[in-house]
Amino acid sequence: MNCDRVHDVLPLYLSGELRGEEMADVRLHLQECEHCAMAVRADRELDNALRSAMLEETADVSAVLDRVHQRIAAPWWKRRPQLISLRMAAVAIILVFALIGLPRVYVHQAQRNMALAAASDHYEDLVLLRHSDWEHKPEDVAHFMQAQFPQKQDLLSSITPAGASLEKVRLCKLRGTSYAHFVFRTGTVETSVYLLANPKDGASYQASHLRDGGHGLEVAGFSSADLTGMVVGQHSSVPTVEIAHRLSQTL
Amino acid sequence: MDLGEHSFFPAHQLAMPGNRASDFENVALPHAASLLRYALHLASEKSRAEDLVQETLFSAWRNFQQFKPGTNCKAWLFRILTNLHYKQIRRSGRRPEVHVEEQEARLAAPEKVSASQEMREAFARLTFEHQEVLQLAVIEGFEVREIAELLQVPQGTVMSRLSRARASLRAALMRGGNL
Repeated sequence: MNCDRVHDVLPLYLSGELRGEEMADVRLHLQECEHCAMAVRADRELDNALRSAMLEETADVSAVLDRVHQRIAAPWWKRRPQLISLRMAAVAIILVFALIGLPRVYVHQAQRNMALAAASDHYEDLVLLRHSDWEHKPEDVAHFMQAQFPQKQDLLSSITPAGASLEKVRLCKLRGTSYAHFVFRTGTVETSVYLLANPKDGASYQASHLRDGGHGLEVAGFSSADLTGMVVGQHSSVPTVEIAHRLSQTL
Repeated sequence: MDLGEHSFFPAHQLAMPGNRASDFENVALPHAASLLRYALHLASEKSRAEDLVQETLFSAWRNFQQFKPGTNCKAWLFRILTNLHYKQIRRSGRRPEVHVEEQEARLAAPEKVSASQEMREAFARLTFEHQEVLQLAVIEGFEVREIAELLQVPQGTVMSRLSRARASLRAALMRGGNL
């Protein structure tokens, strides 16, 4: 081992980390090389002097230890909350809300918005009479049904409420989605049924009920295996929930 | 296990088994002074350094079950302290502080000083990195391997930094007339 190599490993030699053959080589070199031996002695003396000087001024930790003691001995609910723990708790809450709560809220809100749109459409079509593109004649209605619901041959009879008859049907847009809007009449009472085929991605409504859709109207949502829709009628005059439940079972 | 009336942490006040409380007291707390010395080097301000040590010890107490008996508790505590310090630095977005004025005022004191005082002053003139490796290796007695792990630098870097730090300290002492 030469002087340069000894110089390189000197920090390891001084800290006592050298082992085995390398340690023996350094010792042997130091016995033979007075220059390196002096360098080692000088570093050791420097280290000792530095250690003594720095440890002469002992750091007073009593105040810190008192505070640690008080903090540890305090009941857990009185301990100062850790910022990290608080952050982790906040992240956990947000994650739980995002994973469980948020989709439900989102679905609920989306469904509510669609129900409001249906009630508004019902009001515009049947009270304000804003549209004239209705199909009234049986052959036109049959054509409409064939075009919109080709797989459902008896759909019209299935969705007609007991004691009611179809008055008219048209295609409407509710918040950008196309629905078939059926209007059934029972005496002076009109009931709207909005229908669309279930999208292929499987998204559908949950059974729902909006008591106040505005203009005294209520809305009941439903979904069957193939169809999704809403029933809209005057509050307390049309049993929207019953009709929607029946449709969800029969369609 | 009865910790006795002189125990720092009476067992009935700790939410951990008595032997663990005793272990913490015997194994971790004796390093409080070393932690404070290093914290003073890192944080400069005494109050911040004390807060850092307090957080370190409290964190160590909460996670004491993670400490493996027989391993180097001092190195474990220093790791916690270093991590906490740099986390605080990152969180506050500030750079490590160096109180040059304070050092210069102290160094300019006209009265005759002892050899130890001269050594401390020469040490204070070193760069932050040279002070750091000398403090960890010489004063606190850590091995090169442990320092490399603590500072997250290669062992070769620690070794060369140590050699240069000793040379710089020697030069600073010579400028001060001590060597």
